[in-house]
Amino acid sequence: MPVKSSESEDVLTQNVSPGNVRLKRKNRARPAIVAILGAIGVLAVWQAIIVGLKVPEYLVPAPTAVWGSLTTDFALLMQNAWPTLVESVVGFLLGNGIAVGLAIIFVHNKTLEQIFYPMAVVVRTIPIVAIAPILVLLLGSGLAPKVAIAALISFFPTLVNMVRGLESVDKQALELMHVLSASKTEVFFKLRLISSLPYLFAALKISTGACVVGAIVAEWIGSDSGLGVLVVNATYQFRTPLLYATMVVASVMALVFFALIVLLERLIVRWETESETV
Amino acid sequence: MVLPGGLVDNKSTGQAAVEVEGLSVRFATEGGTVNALQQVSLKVAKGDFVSLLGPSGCGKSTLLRVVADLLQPSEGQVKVLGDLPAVARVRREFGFVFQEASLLPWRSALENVRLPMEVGKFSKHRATSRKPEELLELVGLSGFEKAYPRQLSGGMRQRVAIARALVANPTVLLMDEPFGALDEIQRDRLNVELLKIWQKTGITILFVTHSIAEAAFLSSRVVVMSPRPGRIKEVIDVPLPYPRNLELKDEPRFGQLTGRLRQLLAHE
Repeated sequence: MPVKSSESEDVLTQNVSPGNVRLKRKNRARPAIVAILGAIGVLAVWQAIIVGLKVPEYLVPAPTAVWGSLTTDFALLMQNAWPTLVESVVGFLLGNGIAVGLAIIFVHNKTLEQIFYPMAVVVRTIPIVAIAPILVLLLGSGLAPKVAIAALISFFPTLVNMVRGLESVDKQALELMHVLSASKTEVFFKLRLISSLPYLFAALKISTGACVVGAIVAEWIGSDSGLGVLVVNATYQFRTPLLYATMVVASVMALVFFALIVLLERLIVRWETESETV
Repeated sequence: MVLPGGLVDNKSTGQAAVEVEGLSVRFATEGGTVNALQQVSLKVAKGDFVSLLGPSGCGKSTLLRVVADLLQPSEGQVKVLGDLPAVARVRREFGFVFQEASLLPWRSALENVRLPMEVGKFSKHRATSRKPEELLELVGLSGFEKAYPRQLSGGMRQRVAIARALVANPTVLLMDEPFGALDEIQRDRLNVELLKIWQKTGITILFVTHSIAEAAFLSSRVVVMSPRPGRIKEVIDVPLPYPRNLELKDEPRFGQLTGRLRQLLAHE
């Protein structure tokens, strides 16, 4: 950026100058290194305790045993990860899509919001494990109930956050739009929608983990494949290392999902400097 | 009335830029009805720089907001270039600068200046416009087209807001304590630049402030207002010639003027 003005000293806030960026990056790398070292430490202690106290494998497996299962049962894990992934992603898209759509309708029609928003809040208080059997009864044992549960679990945080985001527009910005004679549609697309994006992404990040949980819970209740089924089977067969390996796969799936959303957020919401809420 | 020489070419048409006639604005509050403005009448000629000066609660912002069609009058009427504020708003006869710059944080400086041209069927209602790039240059921000609001200082953000208000090439510029949030050094600097912009464009400015010195330094006329109920106390013609620079503030005649304004404000 060319700096011509006599005001150059107050042009750039300090954290934009190259020196400080480097400083910031160094500071940012430090917590990551600390976190990794910490995780390695925990794994090492875990391994030492299991080996040292001779804990039986079916009770708690050592990290090396879990790793063994991850490699030997890799095909089985992937075979079951696939349906869970599909259910999670479709559920995520469906649940969040409907939530965003509904939030937009609510913001434009107060009456509809007054009718349905309390209903949504009440439904939200019912635990997902209680709703899951109802949906399995309704939708059978195929893909549909799993997608429905994953969708339902992603739905609520996004609905609540998106409504809040669309309504939390700067009052003066709205007045500006009025002075500029902007239409309702223009106010929506040029102001409300964009300023709600940080709220939307906050909800989407919660959804990433939740939709995987939803899909797995649905699989417990009635399914012949998926990570949920693998969890149940591994437990009954005392294949504890496989149980742990399944958890690792589910966790990695949710993490990758989360990382993708964070990446998307960084690409889209570039104006928010302090949007890192994990 | 003291007017800058040779700048106002359309003054002879006689039509006022802003005409306020018997304006009252009442607000219903918990404690009863508040008379924000009572029977206020005012004429602002084209090319004038008029300040509305008074303590908080005197209705100076209320008056400006009625002119900008952000508030409806309870009584009386307001005309901007002979039209009701709502009509003038659609035609973009006026630009508005808020106390906060209220730039859209996801838009660069240039994109923020462009915003007025992208909404409200701009080209249908407004034949003329100014080039956003040239306006940024006018407010002293050439080179910062691509900078985002968070990268700019408070004073620079307010400059972008002024450029944005000018992009429709309006006849009237309405400013609601635009420099109120800035430090005195920045405020002085922007005052000088605003006068330059005013003289270059020949625009009519209606400027709300609670700073006596700012009103005296900028205006060709100062409207002194008082509260409860909000009303005009006196309209003072400023006998200081343009162009004005900051040294003027150290001259005795400037002190005399601010002294008189202060006296008027002291007696409620």
